[in-house]
Amino acid sequence: MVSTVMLYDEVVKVADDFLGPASGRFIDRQIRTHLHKAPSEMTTEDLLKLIDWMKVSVALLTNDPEVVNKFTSRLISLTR
Amino acid sequence: MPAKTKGWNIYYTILVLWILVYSTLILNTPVNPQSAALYNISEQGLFIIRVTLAIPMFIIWFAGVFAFSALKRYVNLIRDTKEEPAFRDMLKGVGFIVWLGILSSIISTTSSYFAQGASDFSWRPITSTLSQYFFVIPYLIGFSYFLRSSMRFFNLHGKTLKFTKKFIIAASVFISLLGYIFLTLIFSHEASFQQVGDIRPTYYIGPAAATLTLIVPTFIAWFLGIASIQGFSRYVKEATGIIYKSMFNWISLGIVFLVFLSIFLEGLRSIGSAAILQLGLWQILALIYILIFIIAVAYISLAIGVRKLTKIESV
Repeated sequence: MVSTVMLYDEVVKVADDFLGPASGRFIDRQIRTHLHKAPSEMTTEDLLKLIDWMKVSVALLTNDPEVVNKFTSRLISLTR
Repeated sequence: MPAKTKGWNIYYTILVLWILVYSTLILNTPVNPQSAALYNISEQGLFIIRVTLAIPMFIIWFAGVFAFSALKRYVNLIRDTKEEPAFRDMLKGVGFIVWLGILSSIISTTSSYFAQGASDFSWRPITSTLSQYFFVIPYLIGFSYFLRSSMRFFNLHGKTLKFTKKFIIAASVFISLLGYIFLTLIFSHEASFQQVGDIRPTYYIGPAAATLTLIVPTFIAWFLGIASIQGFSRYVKEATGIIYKSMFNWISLGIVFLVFLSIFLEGLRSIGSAAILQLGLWQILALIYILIFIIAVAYISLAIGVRKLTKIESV
């Protein structure tokens, strides 16, 4: 079982490849807004719920659907 | 939760006030009949040209204030983050260029306004010289901030921005060539430092003072501007994040346009209107409109990039 802190770090690492220096703030805001939790408390189950929200958010930032799909598939791989 | 930025629209209020001052000056400054004769155009025609030139000028000012406001808003959103100092320096750079640039135009118009009524003493030498300093200083300070901003961005990767010998040589050659052309044009033109017939001098200060306090600082500003472009482009290469990079590219592009066009405009302005007039009035007007349009595009692409980055902080 991946620890919650490690999972959070992995999610930020994935987001960094897409959102660069803004990734940490983006992930923190997604967790706080949609899960109403502290970022370090995010679990694998939470991530599954969060992916859908993040997919919508990232789609608002880019017109390239391939980038959105890549982002979500990399996040999904973290839940396995 | 992103902090709301209060009072950012105060900048538009200030801008509108300045536009009113500028418009009042323009509408109340009678056309100099000698200038009309010099350009071979009617006094009414010259007045219309002056007024129509003010419109694109206002567009540039709005575009500049739009970019400044967007950047200010973004800096407030990312307060206390690692990127804040770099973006704050960029904001200061844009701020100096936009606000002092507007002030420079107002001083220049004030110069023409006071020149009309003056019989025994003309304000023109003072206001004209002040206007020239106000044109050089914003770019000198602004580009210094851009360079520091690019260095700070580079530091985000734990690296120090160092310029290669190849870059320093290429930039020096480029500036030396431009500088040579620029100096040749200034010193070969009769009316650069003295009144020739109806043509007023470009510089009311002596050649040595103009070279040391206006021309050399201009070259330094160019170097700083080019170095900052190199710094930003290297940061974009090193930065992570496909989406972030594509957004930052807009900012980078805006700065590239701003630096190169300001170099060109600064050159044109310092050469003096009489020398440029040899091109012919309508060609000059076309040139001015094109330049103004591209500068507005530079500010807008900067603002687009910043607004896109702001979106990351709000979705």
